[in-house]
Amino acid sequence: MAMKIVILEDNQERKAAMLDCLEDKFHQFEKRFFDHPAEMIDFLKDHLRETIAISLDHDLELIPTSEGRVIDPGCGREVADFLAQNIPSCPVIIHTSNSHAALAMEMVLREANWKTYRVSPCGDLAWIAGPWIRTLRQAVVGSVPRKKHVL
Amino acid sequence: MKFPIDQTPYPKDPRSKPIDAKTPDGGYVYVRDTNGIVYILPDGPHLHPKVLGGGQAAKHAGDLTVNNGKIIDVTNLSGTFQFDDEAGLKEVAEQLRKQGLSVELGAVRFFPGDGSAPIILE
Repeated sequence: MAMKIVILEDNQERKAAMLDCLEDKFHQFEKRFFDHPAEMIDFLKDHLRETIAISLDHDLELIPTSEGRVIDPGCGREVADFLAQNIPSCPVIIHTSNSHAALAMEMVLREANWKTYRVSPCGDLAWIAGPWIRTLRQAVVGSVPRKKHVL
Repeated sequence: MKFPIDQTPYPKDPRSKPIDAKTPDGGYVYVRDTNGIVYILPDGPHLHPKVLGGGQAAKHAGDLTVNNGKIIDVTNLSGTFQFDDEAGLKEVAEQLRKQGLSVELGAVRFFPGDGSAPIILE
């Protein structure tokens, strides 16, 4: 079964740029994007063991409904809180420009012994093909367990 | 030996060169050519087809990190070539030594093509 890279991100342009980078660097892994923290948590409840890396945005856009109202999807902190209740199993990249929220997510995860990395989005999408994919690569390659391969 | 999946005959990137003991610290993509030489470029998006250029075939490809003149990780990660053989990656490690670099214990990290968990080969 293919390991998974699981990402909380609701911006379509960012998703497309991330997917391009992931196909170039990690073609073999399944890529799953979520724009609702609750849906991502449900997925992770079943698939955390098969997840090789997680990347979390914090601020998510309000979602307009057909009745003219808006739904608040929540934020990345909810996923961080969920992860903190589980045994650390993969690196977590926090890719939000909300520095206060990023710090809080980092703290809750580190207190639960999760390995975290910070990437600060800036300007256009160049940070995705730059610091974000480099950090993700470092996180994934650096976390390969030292165990013997049985042929 | 494999050809790049993207067969566009990109020109060879002028920064591409064989790795050696003087290579500065940093992350690189690499391609091992059909003569066995490992060429590198500073890591970046979709650079593998430009390491050799011209849609040329390769013996192996992936990425690596140099730190203090040593290889601290070397992998088969390349969406362009998608090599999936452990022996080929071990040969890359041996070739890196021939080209003057030391490869740290635990640096050779293989990512199976089926997406299963990666493993350390040596």
